Amino acid sequence: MRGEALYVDDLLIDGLLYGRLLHSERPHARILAVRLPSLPPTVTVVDWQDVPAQNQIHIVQDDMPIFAKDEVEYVGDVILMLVGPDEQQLEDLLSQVRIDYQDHEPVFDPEQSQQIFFDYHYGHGEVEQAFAEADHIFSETFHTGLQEQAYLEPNGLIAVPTTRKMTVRGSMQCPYYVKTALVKALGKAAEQVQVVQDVTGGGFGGKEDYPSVLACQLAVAALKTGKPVKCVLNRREDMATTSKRHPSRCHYKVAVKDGLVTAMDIDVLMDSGAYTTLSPVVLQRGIIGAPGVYNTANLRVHGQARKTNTVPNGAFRGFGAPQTFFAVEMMMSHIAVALKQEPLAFKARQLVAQGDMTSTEGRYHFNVSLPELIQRAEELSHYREKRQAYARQSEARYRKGIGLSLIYHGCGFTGNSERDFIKAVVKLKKRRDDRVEVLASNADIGQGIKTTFAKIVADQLAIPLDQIIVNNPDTDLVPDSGPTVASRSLMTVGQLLAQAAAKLKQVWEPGKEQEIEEQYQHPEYMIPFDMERFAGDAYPTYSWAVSVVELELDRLTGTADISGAWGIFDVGVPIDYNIVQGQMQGGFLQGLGYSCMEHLAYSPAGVPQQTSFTDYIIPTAADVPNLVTDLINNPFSHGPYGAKGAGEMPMVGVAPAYLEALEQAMNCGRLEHVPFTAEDVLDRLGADPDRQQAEPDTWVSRERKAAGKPAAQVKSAGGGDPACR
Amino acid sequence: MVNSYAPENLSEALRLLQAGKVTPYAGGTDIMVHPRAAASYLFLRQLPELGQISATEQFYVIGSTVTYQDLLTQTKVDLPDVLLQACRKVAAPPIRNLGTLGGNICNASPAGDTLPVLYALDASVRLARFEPASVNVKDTDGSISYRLLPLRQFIQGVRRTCRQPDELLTEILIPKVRYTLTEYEKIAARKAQAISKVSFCGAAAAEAGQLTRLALAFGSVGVTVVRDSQIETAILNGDYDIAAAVKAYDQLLRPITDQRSTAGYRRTVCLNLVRNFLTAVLAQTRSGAQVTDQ
Ligand SMILES: Cc1cc2nc3c(=O)[nH]c(=O)nc-3n(C[C@H](O)[C@H](O)[C@H](O)COP(=O)(O)OP(=O)(O)OC[C@H]3O[C@@H](n4cnc5c(N)ncnc54)[C@H](O)[C@@H]3O)c2cc1C
Repeated sequence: MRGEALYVDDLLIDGLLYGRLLHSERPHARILAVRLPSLPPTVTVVDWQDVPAQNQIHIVQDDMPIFAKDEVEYVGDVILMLVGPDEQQLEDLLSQVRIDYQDHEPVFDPEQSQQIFFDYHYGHGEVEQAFAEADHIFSETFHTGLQEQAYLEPNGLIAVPTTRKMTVRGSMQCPYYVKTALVKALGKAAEQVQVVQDVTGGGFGGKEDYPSVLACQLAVAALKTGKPVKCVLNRREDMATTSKRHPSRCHYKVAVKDGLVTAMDIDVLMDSGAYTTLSPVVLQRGIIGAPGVYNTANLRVHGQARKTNTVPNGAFRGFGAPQTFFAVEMMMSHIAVALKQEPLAFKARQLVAQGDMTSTEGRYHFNVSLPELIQRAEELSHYREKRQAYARQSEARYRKGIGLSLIYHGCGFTGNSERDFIKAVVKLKKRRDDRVEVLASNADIGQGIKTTFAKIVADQLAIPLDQIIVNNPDTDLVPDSGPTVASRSLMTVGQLLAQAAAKLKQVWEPGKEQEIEEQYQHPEYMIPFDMERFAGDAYPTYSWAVSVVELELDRLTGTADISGAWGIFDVGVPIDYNIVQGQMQGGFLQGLGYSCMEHLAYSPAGVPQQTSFTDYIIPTAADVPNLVTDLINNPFSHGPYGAKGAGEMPMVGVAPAYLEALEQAMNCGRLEHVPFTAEDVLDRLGADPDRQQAEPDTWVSRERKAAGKPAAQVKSAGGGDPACR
Repeated sequence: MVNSYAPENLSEALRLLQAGKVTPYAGGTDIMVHPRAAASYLFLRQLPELGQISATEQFYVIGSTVTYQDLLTQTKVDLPDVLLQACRKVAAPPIRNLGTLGGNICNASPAGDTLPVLYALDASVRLARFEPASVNVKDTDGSISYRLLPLRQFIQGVRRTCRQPDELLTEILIPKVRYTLTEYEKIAARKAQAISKVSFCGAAAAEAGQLTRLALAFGSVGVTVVRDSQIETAILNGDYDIAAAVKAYDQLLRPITDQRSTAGYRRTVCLNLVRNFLTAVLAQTRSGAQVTDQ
């Protein structure tokens, strides 16, 4: 660590001006008038009228305005920007701007929302028949909450105008996404727009879509003033107004016959927030993963993303998968308990395996390593033994629990996007001094992609690592090798670099400038994905994980000590062991935050309530002193050195493992939402310890009886669970 | 241009304080959360008078600028363990290296983590001010005047104390009392670096099967730490059994819902903890009775 990194906030440019944003204070309103204080001549107002071409930001669709024109759709929507040389002065002036609003009725509950942004259906088999023939039918509803990415430095960019072009630089994951948005907003030719990534201290998805928003606002300001304009959000502003993880509601109805799941009927609802941004793709990944890692011969999945007047939700590590994997893992565990079976044994009997059909009628083309991962998890955590022991605890102040989850993460983009939209290109440029520069648009945001790219190229070329140069991407210099998302950078772009390096080695001439270009080829084994029907291979391959959480609950305070945590991962082959371990540990910790403490709620007026690190609680190392992460080798034939996707996966399975452990410790029936806070624990345990709280009897569906068919054998939902203490 | 001051001794500090608008600055860990560009600070940590830990026959005496880390690592004085337990729960090492007991008190946050302990242990605070003496007296010790008052009187509300602008908190005095059972609990959303949702301190002494002392203090559930001598006396006198005591606290406590927790949760935790503590106290008292019976 040398402290040399310059973040966007550290950069100074001659004549630099600052921009501060005026955010809507209303969740849904018409703007009647904007009343500005008298402004000094050095201060410029920038709003929708200054946008040269399109006042919509291109993300997937083009619906979010750069500056709100007539309507504001959430508390935080940007109405205008004040630009000037002194940030404090701008803040003072901003506080004097008055907006006259005419309020509309806001919608905060996606269940109540009439505006369906996206609506998908898919499935296969004979679902109705499977339910008709089932021994048991279980149905249950799960909820997951918002989550803030909490990256190291807030979002921030600088727009620099010159006579020839507009340059935007700063903290981001996807330089070419920003560039595309700018080209559309400014109406400029592609070569007139340059985007440069600066040192970025983490993104976790939070710098996937949002930088396109801020870039367009700043570029408009830079065009108007003719000066470079910088805006670094302050932490509260960033937390209150930029994208977060989609809250979800998942309803599962599951048929069981002869002790195995025969059908799932799943309904997923995601809260999109005020604009569509990345919701379609988040929802797609979420619903594709909805049946989890289990063979489900008969499947029906319905997914919707609806509009609410809240901050637009976007990308966050896992991208829709943490929501549905949480639901399906809890569902499977609950069914097992109701059938008086050990959850892991119940799950293990119906795992997918190589050659099996995926949820979307694709194939698991490669080795499914879950059995091996489960065995390793057992060795390290002694899950089964503890699970049994903790079932026999007394009703003392402290009670232990252990939980385990099984998940996959689909590596890379969903469906044919790599082939049809991204079309990644990389280059290697050999200089005369025989040093080789990697030219790719993937951003190192703390995940170490510079190191792993360099290792791949150096090894292929059999030259020392320090002969490889990897700079921060600059769209004037690097080809579009796609965004830094979807656990794709190393697997997909790294593979292209390995191929390019192999080619360069063939033609290598010392002392000569040489350039090699490599283009993405869709793997020929993939079953083409039909986006209408959700049929085909959704992902080229899958990474697998087993997560185990052990905890001790204090039943007087509702707080839990995490006494052990184990994450066992198959990421193919780790290119850099330490980097992968860092990802696994950090991701696991983020998953724990999601499980129990990262509570973020809106006030009745639509204002986010936890907008500082004092109130929005992310875990620290002290919360999980014994975190063990372990890797197995399972080489992927089409990844560089056998590598698959790694970045997102560690986050995905933690919440169901945590909640299964908490359920055992609470001994109080099923839990069905995250975050499950200490407040929730005490609520559920009941304020009065002497009061018995009976298990509600609504869980097991009695639909078949109503339909007049032979009644499914209905087991008590709480199968063996004593009532709440 | 704003000046800040680093006086060499207490009397110089007190005179600077009296002279003008300076803000006392110990560890700065509360002050720097909301720094004011125009503030003028009076640094205290270098003052030798405020950094001592000692014990008299009756009291533990802790200088106001003693840090949490100092308290946890010093070996000179055998400080009450329950106070050290609270210190261990404050923030994380960087803040414990800077933050002071005096700062925790003067900041008077309802969530100050040492406050329930100091209330329960009947701590007092000593305040000093400079007395401008007759014409030609130099800055000798004689020109400093002191007052001593119970912490419970010193803290008056949220971030409100009865410290006069020209006064400094110099020492915290904790009576040397032998307790047979003490407990400290900090309930927060994570293990380190978190503001308490609830904190609790219980201290009790039993002798020969008789409960002789009892203190129950609750943090983060009111504008100041909550301690009620009437309920304590009723328990001591045997007028209240555990259920009655819990009920009395249920009626007394008025926690609120905010962005960190809910009123219901805070109340339930307080009642659970007080019930649990009283149960342990009772068990201990009874077993003491058996021992003396034999
Ligand atoms: C990240 C972080 C985490 C924290 N976590 C906790 C926690 O877990 N628990 C907790 O209780 N607190 C916590 N705090 C708050 C703070 O650290 C404590 O209250 C600490 O004890 C304050 O001491 P200080 O010396 O830094 O006070 P300062 O900031 O120096 O002063 C606080 C106030 O007291 C006044 N003052 C200080 N000393 C004197 C004196 N001798 N005479 C008169 N006035 C004086 C100052 O003028 C100021 O108004 C945290 C703070 C931060 C920044």
